[in-house]
Amino acid sequence: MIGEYSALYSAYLVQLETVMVWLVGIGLALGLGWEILPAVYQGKRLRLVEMVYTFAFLGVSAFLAWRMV
Amino acid sequence: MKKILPFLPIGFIVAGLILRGLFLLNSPLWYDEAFTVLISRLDIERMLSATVTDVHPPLYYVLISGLFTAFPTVNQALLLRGFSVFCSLVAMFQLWAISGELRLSERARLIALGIMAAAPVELYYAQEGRMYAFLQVLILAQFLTMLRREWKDLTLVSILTLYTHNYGLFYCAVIYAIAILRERPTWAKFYRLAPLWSGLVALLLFVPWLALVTFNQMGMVAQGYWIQPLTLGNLFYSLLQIVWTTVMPDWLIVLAVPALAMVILFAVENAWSERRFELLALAFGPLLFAVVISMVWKPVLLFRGLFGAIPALILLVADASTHKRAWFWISFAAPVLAITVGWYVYQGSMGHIKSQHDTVLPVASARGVMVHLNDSTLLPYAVYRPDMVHLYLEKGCPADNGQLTEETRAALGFQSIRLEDLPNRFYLAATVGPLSTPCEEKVYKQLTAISAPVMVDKLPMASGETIGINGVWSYVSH
Repeated sequence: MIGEYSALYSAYLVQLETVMVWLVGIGLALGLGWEILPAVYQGKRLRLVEMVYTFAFLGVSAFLAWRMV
Repeated sequence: MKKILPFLPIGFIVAGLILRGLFLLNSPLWYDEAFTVLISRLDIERMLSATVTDVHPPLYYVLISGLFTAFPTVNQALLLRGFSVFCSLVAMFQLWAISGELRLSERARLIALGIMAAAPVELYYAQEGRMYAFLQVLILAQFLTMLRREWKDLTLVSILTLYTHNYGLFYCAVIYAIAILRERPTWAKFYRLAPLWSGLVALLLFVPWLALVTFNQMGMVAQGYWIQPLTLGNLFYSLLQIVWTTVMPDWLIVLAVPALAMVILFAVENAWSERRFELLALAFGPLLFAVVISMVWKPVLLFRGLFGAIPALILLVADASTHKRAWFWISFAAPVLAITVGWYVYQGSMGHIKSQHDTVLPVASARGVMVHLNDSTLLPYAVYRPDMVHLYLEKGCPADNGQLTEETRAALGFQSIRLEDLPNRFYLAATVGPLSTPCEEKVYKQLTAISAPVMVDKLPMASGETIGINGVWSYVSH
């Protein structure tokens, strides 16, 4: 049996575990997505797609962070 | 621009020094730092008695003790943290030297030095009165002497590393493995290999301490609350703590963790293609050791222990940042770095950098006897309130995780008092939190129910729930 605060902290760690795995997964997916872009798009089109890709995900992150404040 | 370039390294170092010196003493010493002060005040015999039954080897405490003796009139908190600032300054010069030895591009070298000067984790440990900034200097010295093939110096520095922190073993294993592989030995000439002999001599001179205490200490460390069982999320959280620190607003985690994943991904990919295997090994080798040992033996992954590997990661990141498509992950990582530096300086100015759970509360009205529910308050108050009598409460409870051993407490000169012997008038200092056992929480509730609160600080989690309490109560028998 663990104490009241330990129980709270354990529950917090379970939440943290899930959040960390998801966020790292998102980061890796974004990075790998960036890596395969040149194989899918070429030339000037690639530059445009890269810009859209970067700003879209930066925008989503900024929005989520703003919702957390 | 070309006229400015030669002055940029020194500019970064000066800026780094200013950031490290800013608000150095605004946050009070927390539990670990208070432990350093108290143990460094002891004579060498009692210091060894206290460290043998505690966590880390004694070299750092011996050095701090020497500083206390050499400058008896200087504020000890200033000496303690000032020494870490000095070590951190040395580490910036070492990083510059290493990047030159590895023939990184000038641009990569400057970026690395800029990150090293401002990285919040570097600022945090530069302002912490513990052995981590010193450990980083030793690791960088090991790496530099290894690159320069200065084997006698490597032997000496390795011995110092081993006697500074338990993770010294991991770093030595990694650095000697790199050294031996770099020499490309043939089996016929293996016995003539200088780094092999250097490593054996260092290990041999560490054997007395290793045999006496380390295995015992590792077991104690693994019982401590700060070493959680190894899981994927826990591993990522450890990386977050040691790369960015947790001195950041909660909402920034949404950007900081994906940015961290990308930074590591692209840094490793670049290092692999550029064949920067020495840096890769130093950046991730100790982590790998900690992970493997945690999986096959006991949890030993202590994020702070990985601090010595951070400069290698910084060099890898700086090298990768010169790649033409790096602007993608930089656009995620750079805002996190800028915000965390700003946040760190702001929190530093407020005195909120260190753990608020284990620091003193400003209770100037308290006089006489202070009884402590556990070590968390005993150590900081013993440093800040030497005018009071501090007694450790024997609660008749099983040991809580992470507490001092009785031998260490006795070597530090603390006296205990049993519940039934409590005086008619005393102040109670208590923290309860994730470390507390149900028995300890019960005693806490019993005592605080019959005492008047003087100052009570509730410690909230990000979710808003109270995860712990740090307070002082006054008890008067009626």
